Amino acid sequence: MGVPRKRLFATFALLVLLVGSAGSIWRVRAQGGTTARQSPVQTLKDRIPPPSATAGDRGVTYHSLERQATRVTTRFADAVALANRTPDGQLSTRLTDLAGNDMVTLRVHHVDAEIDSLEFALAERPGAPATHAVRRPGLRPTLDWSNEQAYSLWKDRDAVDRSSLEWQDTLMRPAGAQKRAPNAGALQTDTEWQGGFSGTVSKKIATHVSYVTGRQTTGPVFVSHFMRDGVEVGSSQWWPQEQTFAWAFPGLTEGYVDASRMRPNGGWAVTPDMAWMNTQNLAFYQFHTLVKERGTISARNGGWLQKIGALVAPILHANEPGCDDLHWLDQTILRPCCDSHDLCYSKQDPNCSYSSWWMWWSSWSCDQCNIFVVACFMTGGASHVFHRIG
Amino acid sequence: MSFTESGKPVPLAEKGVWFVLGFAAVATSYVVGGWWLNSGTGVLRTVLGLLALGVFAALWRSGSPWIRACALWAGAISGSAAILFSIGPGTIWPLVLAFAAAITAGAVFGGAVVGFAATRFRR
Repeated sequence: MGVPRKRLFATFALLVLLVGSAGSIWRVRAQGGTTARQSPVQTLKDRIPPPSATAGDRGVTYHSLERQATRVTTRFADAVALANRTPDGQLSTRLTDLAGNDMVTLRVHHVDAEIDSLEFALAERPGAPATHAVRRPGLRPTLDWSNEQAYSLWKDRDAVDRSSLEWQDTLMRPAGAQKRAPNAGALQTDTEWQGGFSGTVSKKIATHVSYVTGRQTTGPVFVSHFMRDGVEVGSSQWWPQEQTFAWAFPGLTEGYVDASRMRPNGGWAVTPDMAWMNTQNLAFYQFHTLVKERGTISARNGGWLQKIGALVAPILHANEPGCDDLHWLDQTILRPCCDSHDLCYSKQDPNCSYSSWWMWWSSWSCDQCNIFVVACFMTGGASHVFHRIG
Repeated sequence: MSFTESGKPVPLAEKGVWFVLGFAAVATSYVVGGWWLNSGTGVLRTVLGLLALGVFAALWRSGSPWIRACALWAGAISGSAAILFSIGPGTIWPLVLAFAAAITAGAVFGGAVVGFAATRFRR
């Protein structure tokens, strides 16, 4: 084979190699395009309903409001817990004794939507490394939870080293530890939010006219005061024995809900506690201020009122929340008259309607609802007046 | 002539005009901003409109201002009732109409008193 032939053969061989490799690359790509598995989209007939609120996850609206809090201070009989939220959303708590000595530090490192890493250390064990744990699924860490968890770890400090940890409801506790009532021991909770808002809740013993029985009653009550730039703009009360929550934000909203009013809505999904009260107060102020600035208040206009309703007020079936066709009175003391009337109407079977007013012979129970609402209007909603507790 | 004296009778046609004016005032308020008792702005708009008509009714020279104001008020109540039932009455509609009647009465007769005082002052 001469030199030109060798060159020709070598060139031919090189061409064959190039074409062959190009073909194999094309084949690999083509195969990748047809056989790679893409996850199919699962379609639904309707939207997925939101999960019901639990002690660990109180719903999207609650947590969006709670995330506005920058600092929560919880005072116990023997300790003070101070939780801070950094601008990037990390939580850190420092539990001290009444003299200010460190006892526990707890940090919540946000990893992603599903995972948070918890880190805590007891000051009694200065050389010991911090303990790391993964938060329980279904628990959304909040500043007040962080304080309660830190206090609980300090209470369990003798057993923390000796046994493994387990989740008891929302708290990490030594395995087998005797159950403890949630929020036990908290005497006062102070919350600070962005924008100059702050709230204080404390537990007291007070006397008032019961929302349930109408008689004078003495019992425990959680009293909250909500402030803007240090000036009180609203107040609320939780009477645990009556399961009644009452509020007054002068010029914005006033009213109460008790167990009977919440029953059509499935009852109290979450037992109100100090942190819930502060967050609910923020909701009252923010949502009702928005409604006031918009000039009208009506379910037909949608949006904010439904969010408020989802937070606390009972769902009023087949009616607009508030005073139908008299919505300019929705922020007055007559509002509870309208809500009570709506609830009274919805309880009846068959339901009452606007025709019940003139077809009075069709249902005596509807007539009772109507008599009540007229009396309530004529007495200026006197049976629902909010009595402030200092 | 005092405000409460009947004075000359007001022809039926003129009463009808004042009735229509009262009806139209409420209807206009509804067209502009929806049902007038649903917002403070609506209440203010309607009250000012009826107040102005009340003043005008008292300044009208012929007949009794009281009868004209009554016709105006009746028109406002009728307009409120007609609109309320056309949009669908709520569960407390009698109270709504009671509020409508009370507020429109205050506006119409308040305006009429102002207008009547103005005519007396002018004399």
